[in-house]
Amino acid sequence: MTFPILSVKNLAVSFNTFEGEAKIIDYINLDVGEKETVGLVGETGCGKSVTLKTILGILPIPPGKVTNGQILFRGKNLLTLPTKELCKLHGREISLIPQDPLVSLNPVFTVKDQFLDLVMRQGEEHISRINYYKEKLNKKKVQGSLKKIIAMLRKVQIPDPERVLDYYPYQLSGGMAQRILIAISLIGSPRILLADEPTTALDVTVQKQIITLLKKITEDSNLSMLYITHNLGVTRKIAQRVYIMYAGQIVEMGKVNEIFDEPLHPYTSGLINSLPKLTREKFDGIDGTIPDYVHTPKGCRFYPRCSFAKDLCKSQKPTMIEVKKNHFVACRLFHKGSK
Amino acid sequence: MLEVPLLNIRNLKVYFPIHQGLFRKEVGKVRAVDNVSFDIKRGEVFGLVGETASGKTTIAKTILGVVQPTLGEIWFKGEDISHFNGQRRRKLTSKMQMIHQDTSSSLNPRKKVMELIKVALDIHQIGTPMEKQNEVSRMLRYVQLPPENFFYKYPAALSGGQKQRIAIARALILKPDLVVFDEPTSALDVSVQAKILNLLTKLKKEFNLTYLFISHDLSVVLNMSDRIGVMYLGELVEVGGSQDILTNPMHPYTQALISAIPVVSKKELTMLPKIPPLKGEIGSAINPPTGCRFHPRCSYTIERCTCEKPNWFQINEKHIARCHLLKGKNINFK
Amino acid sequence: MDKINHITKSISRHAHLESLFRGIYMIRKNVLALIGIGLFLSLLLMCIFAPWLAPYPEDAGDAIHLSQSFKPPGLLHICGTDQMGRDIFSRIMFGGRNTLLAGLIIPLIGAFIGCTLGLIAGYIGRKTGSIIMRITDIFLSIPSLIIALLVIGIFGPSLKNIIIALSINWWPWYARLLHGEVISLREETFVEASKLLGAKSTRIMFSEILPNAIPPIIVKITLDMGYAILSAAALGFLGLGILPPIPEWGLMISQGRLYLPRIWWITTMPGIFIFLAVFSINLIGDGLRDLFDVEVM
Repeated sequence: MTFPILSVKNLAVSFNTFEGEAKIIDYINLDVGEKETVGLVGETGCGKSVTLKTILGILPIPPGKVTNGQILFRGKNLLTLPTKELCKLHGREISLIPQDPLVSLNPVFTVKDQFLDLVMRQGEEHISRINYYKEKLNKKKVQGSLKKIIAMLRKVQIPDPERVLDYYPYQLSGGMAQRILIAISLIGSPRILLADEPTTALDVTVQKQIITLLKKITEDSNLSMLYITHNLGVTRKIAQRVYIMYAGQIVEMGKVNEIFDEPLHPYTSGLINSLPKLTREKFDGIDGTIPDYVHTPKGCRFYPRCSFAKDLCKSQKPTMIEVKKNHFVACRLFHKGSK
Repeated sequence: MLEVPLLNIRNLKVYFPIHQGLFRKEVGKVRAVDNVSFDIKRGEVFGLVGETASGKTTIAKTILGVVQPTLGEIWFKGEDISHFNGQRRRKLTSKMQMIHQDTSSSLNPRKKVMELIKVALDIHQIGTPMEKQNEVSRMLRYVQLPPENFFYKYPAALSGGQKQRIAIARALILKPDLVVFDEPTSALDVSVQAKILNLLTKLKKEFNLTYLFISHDLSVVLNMSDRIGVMYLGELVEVGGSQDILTNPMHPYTQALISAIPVVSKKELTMLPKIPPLKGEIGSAINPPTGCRFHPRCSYTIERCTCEKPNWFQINEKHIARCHLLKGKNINFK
Repeated sequence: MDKINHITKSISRHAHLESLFRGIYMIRKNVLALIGIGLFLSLLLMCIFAPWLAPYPEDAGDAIHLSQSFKPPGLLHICGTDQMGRDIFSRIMFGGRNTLLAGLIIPLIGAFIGCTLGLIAGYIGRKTGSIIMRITDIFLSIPSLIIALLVIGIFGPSLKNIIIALSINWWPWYARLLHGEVISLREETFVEASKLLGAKSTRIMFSEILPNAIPPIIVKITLDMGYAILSAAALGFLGLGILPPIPEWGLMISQGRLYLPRIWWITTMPGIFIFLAVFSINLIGDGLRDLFDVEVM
C-alpha cells in the first residue's frame, strides 16, 4: 500500500464522567491511503463518532482527552498542530460530509450565503468584521465565487443550480440537501473526505444515488475517503477496505469483499448473521450489550458476548494479527498455537 | 372457501387540507393516501413498504383512528370502523394496537415501566391490582426482560432495544387481534434489531396474532412478511407474496427499490436487478404528478403514463401490480 | 402465585428505598438548597412556636409600655422596641405567622385554580379553551393593586381577604404557564399511545400530561412564595391588609417609616426577616429545579 494520507496511530481517548474515567477509544490504528475509500463500521456506542471528532479536532476537551497516539495527515500530527495551521487544513485538505443534511445546514441562511462565506474566506482563522463586509461588496470577487459554486453544484448533479442558490434549507429535499453538503465539502479541493453516515437519514433510492455520486467523485478526483457508518451493505458498495470497530477497538480489518464473505472475528460474523437477507435465511442477533467503558474488562472487550470465548480471552487482550494477506483480526482464536 | 379477512381497506383516501393566510383559507390538500385497497388475512404478516411520503404511516394512523379518512372504508372483523370515534373507538383498542416509530417518545418519561404497562389493564379494568401486577410480570418475561430488574425503572434508564420490548409488552398485554408496527426497528442497531424481529415472530405464534408491518427497509419486510404491498407517493403499486415480489418484481418502482437495497453477501448481490439509480426525487404529495405518480422517475415511461392512471393487472393468484406496461400480460383486475 | 406476590412486594420496597436514598443524596449534593431549607425551617419553627419562644409574648397584642419605647437593639430586646414599647422581636415572631401563612397559601391556591383551568383549556382547546384563556387575559390586564383594592374595599381588610385578593391576582399566570405546557405536551407520542390504549380524556389529562407539566409549576410555586410574602407585606404596608395592633411584617415596616432614619430598627428588622424568608425560598426553588431534572435522568 502506498504511503497513507491519513494515519491514526495508537489513538486512545478517554472521557471524564461522573462515575470515573471512561476509556472510550482503546489504542486504535487506522490508515487511509491515497485514492482509497476506507470504511469504518460499527454500531452505536462503538466510538466511531468520537474517533471522527478527534480527527477533526472538535472533541470537547474538558470532559474528553486524548491520552495517547498521533493522527498523521500527510506526515503532520493533527493533535499537536497550532490552531492556525489546523484552520488551513479544515475544509481545504480535510473535509467533512456530515450526517443528517437538514440539520447540518444553517436554517436561516440561503444556500448561496452558506457557500459564499466558505469560498471567499476559507482557511483563515479570524476575519475582522470590516474586512468581512468589504469582501461581500466586492462584486467581482462575489461573481467569481458564484461561478465556482454553480460549477460545483452541477458536479453533484443538482438540476438548475442558479435557482437552488436562493433556496433556504427547509425548501430542500433530503437528497438535494445532502448533495449540497457534498458540494460544500468539495469546494475547497480537499484531499480526503471524512463522511459521517451521510446517507443514514435518506430514502433508500436516494441513498443509491448519493453513493453512486460519491463513488464517481472520488474516482474522478483521486480523492481518499474515510466512510463512517453502521450500514454494512453501504460499506460494501462504496469502500475498498474496511475496519470493523467494537467498543473502542478495531477488531478486524481487510478488503471489503473478504471481510463480508468470510468474516473471521466473532463480532463481525455475528453482525453479518444479524442482517435479514434476501435469501430469507435465519438471522440471529448478538446477545448482551456493549461493555461499561469505565470498568473496562482486562481482556477482550467482546468476551461477554462471544460464543467462542475461552478463559484466556477474559484476562488477555488479543493483538492484531495478519491472518491472511492484508486481512487482520484481533482475536485469540487466531493466535498461533491456539485452536 | 371464502375466508373473511381480518382487515379490509377499501378505496381509502386520506387528504389533509392546507390552511394559509389570515382567514385560514384552504389553499390545497396533501394527498397522503389515494385510493388504496388491500386486505390482511387472520394470522398473516402483511408488510407495507415505501419511502418518504409514501403514505404508509398515514394508513397505520387511519386504521387506528388517530386520523380520519377522507373517503373509503376500513372493515375490521366484519364492521366498517372508518368513522368510529369516542366510545366505539375506545372499545376497539383492546383488539388492535400499534407500536410507534419513535419508541422513546411513546413512553411517558415520568412513569416507571410497571406503570407504563399496567395502564393498559387499568383502562380496560381487567383484573385486581395483584392480578394486574402479575400479568405485567408475565408480559415482561415474554419479552425477555426480567421483571425484578425492570419493574421500577424509568424509560430514560433503558436502551433502545429495551424500550422497544416495553412498548411491545404494553401492546400485547391486551391480547389484540391485529398489531400494527410502524418502523419498529429502524432506530435500532443491527444486532438488536435481529433479536427484536425474532421476538416478534415468536410472539406472533405464541399469541396467535396478525401483523401489519410497516417499514422502509425492504430486507426486513421481505423476511418478516408473508405478503407485501409496495407504496409510492400515496398509492399502492404492487402487492404480492414476499418471495414473488423478490424474484419477480413487476412494477418499475419495486424493481428500483429492490436494486437499491444495500446487501452484504455475494449471493445477495446476484439476486438484485441490475438497474441504474432512479433519477429525480420523490415528488410532493401536495401536487403529485398526473397520471401514474411514478412516471417522472420511471425509465420506461410512455405517453399514457403521464395522463392516465394505470389499472391493476393480475400476475398470479396473490400477485398484482399497477402499470401500463403490463397490458397484454394478463387479465384486468379491479 | 404467592411467591410471585412476595417477590413483587420486596422489589417494590427495595425500589422505593432506593429512590428515597437517591433523592436524599441529590439534595445533599446541593448545599445551597440545604442552606435554604435550613433557614426557612428555622423561620417557620420560630413563628409556629412563637407563643412559647417569644421573650415578650404579650407585646404581640395590644400591650403598651410607653416607658420602654424606642429602645435600640440590645441585650434585653434583640431587635429593639417600637413606638409603643413593644418588643419588636416578639412581634416579628408572631407577625411571621401571618406573613408566612399568606406567602405559602397564596401561590398554592393560585396554582390550584390556574392549573385546573390551564389544563382544561390546553387539552380541550377550541372554543372552551379560547374562552378560558380570554378570561385569563382579562384578569392579567387588571393591575394587581386594583384587584386588591376592590376586594379589600368590599370585604374589609383582614388576612383572609389579603389571601383571597392575591390569589385572584395570581392564578392567571399559572393558567397561562400550564396552558402552554399542555399544548405542547398533548402532541407528544406517549399521549397518542395512551389514546390508542383506550384512555379517556380525564385520564390523559391528569395521569399522562399533568405529571410532565408539573415540574416547572412546582418550581414556580416555590419562587412565587417569596413574591407572595413581598406582596402581602406590601399590602400591609399600604394599610390594605391586617389592621394594627396585630403584627404583620409589612405593616411593621410601614409603621416604622415615620421614625426613620434615626430610629431605624422598627422598619429594618422586619425587613431583614422578609429578606431571609424570600432568600431561603429562592434557594429551595433552585434546588428543586435541579432535583426534577435529575429525576428524569
